Amino acid sequence: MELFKLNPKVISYWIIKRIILFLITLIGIILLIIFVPRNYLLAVLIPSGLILLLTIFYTFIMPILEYKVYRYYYDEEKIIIKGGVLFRFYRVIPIIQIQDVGTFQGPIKLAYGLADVVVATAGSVERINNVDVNISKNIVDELNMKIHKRLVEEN
Amino acid sequence: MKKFPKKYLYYNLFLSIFGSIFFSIFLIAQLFLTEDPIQIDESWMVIIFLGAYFVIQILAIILIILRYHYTSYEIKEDLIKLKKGIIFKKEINLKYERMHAIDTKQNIIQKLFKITALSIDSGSTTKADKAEIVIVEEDDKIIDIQAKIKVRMQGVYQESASEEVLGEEVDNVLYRYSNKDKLMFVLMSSLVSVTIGILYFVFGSIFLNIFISDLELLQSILFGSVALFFAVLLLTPITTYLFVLIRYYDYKVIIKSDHFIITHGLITKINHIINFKKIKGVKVEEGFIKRIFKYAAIKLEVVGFGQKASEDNKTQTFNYLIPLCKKADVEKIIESLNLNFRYMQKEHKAPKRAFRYFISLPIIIFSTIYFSVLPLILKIPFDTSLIMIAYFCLYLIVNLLIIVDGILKYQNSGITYDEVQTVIYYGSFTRNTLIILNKNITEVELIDTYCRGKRNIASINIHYFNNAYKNEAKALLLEKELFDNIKTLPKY
Repeated sequence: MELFKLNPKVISYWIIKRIILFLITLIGIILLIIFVPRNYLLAVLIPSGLILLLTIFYTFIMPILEYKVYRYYYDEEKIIIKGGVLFRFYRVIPIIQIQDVGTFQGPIKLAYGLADVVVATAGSVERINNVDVNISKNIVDELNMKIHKRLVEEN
Repeated sequence: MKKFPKKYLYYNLFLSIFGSIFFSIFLIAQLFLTEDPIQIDESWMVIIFLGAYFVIQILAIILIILRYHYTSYEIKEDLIKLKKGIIFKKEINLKYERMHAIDTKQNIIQKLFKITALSIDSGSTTKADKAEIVIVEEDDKIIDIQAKIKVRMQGVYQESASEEVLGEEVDNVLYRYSNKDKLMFVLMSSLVSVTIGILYFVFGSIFLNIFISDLELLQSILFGSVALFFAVLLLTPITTYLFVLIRYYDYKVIIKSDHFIITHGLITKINHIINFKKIKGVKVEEGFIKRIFKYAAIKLEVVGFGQKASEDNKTQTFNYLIPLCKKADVEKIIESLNLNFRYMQKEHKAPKRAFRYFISLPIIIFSTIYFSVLPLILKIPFDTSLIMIAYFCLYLIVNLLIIVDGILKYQNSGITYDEVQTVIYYGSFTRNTLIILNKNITEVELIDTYCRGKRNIASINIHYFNNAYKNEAKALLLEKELFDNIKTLPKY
């Protein structure tokens, strides 16, 4: 059973998306440095530096690591989603439990030609994140066919 | 389409007008009957305020009347239809097969007006497709409606509507909340409050001793704290007993051929009807004090059961089947339900090598955050040595709590499974045992980190169809190989 990898362009998509958060953090810290009284500067700089380091890691390093570990798979019985950098996850969703399958595209995803496959069961909503838009359509069609086939078999 | 009874309109008008009169009397008393009453020539603001208040009241009454006129329902062969809304009109069509739980509620004023509210939950867990219906009718009609709905729900209820009059059955009573058990509950709840009170008092005294040098002020604060402590000590059992008496008044569980009926309440009379087929899980809950006294509570995991009958608030849940029973009786009670659920002993526990992970990560996260604010703490304009003592004391206390929490989580974590059901054990101060039928598992998930993975340890998350806020149960840090078997458990 070979799990599928994502398109490498997802790395730049993640970086672009997270740069917004990075810039907000950076501006916040610069404003703090400007407006905080001099004798409090060191006290503010230590936690701010820590936050900035984490944001840099999250923005520029995490996307590469996330791309390396993220995998997905689907067959007649189940969908498997694997990922996570610090906390790694391995999810198994039975096809028979799926209530609804669809795709989601935000504006940046649209520009990159990426889409999320949203799989809703009665107990949770899972996503296969950032697959190529054409692949996502195929996955949705195939999953819908499989679900329909399973339901016919069930009845 | 049928409107709610006129009595419902009168009930709402009564509440509005009574509330208004009460507020007005209170306001006038505050303004004119105090030691320094408002002067007539200065009271123009009061007049404007009262004028605006009465305009709002009249608008509220108009709103009540309009809402009454624009709300109607219809019980059809295949669904229940509810229309409501004055400007934004809403029509809800709820099919019988989608209904999960039927509750009736009657508060003391509704009792005077002889009306009851019947709420039907669709079982949807997202706000988008939520279709909860609340019907208000006269008492005798509600019983008929309830019976009609039960007959039509999946055609599973075969009893004649006239035969089943709620509350009259004695033979099938599975459980009654006895006065002895209620007193036990009060005792245990009070013990929790007293323990927290003692800890608060001891640590508070230590901190006050450090920071307050004025002996007289310290004595008066300590005296006040002792008085407050004893007041809480006295009031807690009384208020808890009153709460238990009102909420669990005449609490009983009636077991029928294919559903439960749970009735209770003094001021608000509550009645739940739960179809066996809709029960997704059974949960045994043992609070810290309950465990000491070997008591437990049994809850039913059914979407909609025990949720507040309001569209906007689904956070309040009351899904008890048995609010309090002896731990030794739990197995017998679950078996007597005659469902597929069985209470099973823990088979797979967290291995010893996993113990450190229950504690290490919370301590690392807490310490990183805590020490990163140390430079800010040092800037507090107070005696630095005292600040540092308090700072490290707090650090030790929190770490102690993290360790105790970790030990309890380690002891409670586990999983047991067979072909029919999976039992997940989790929790720290409150120990939970959740029994889920394998056919209701919607997803299984393995979570680990690089270090845990190397030591063959992982947490296992089981998702199942239940309330949107708690639709998963996590068995923490077990043997990773277990997942190979667990992922074969759901129905594929």
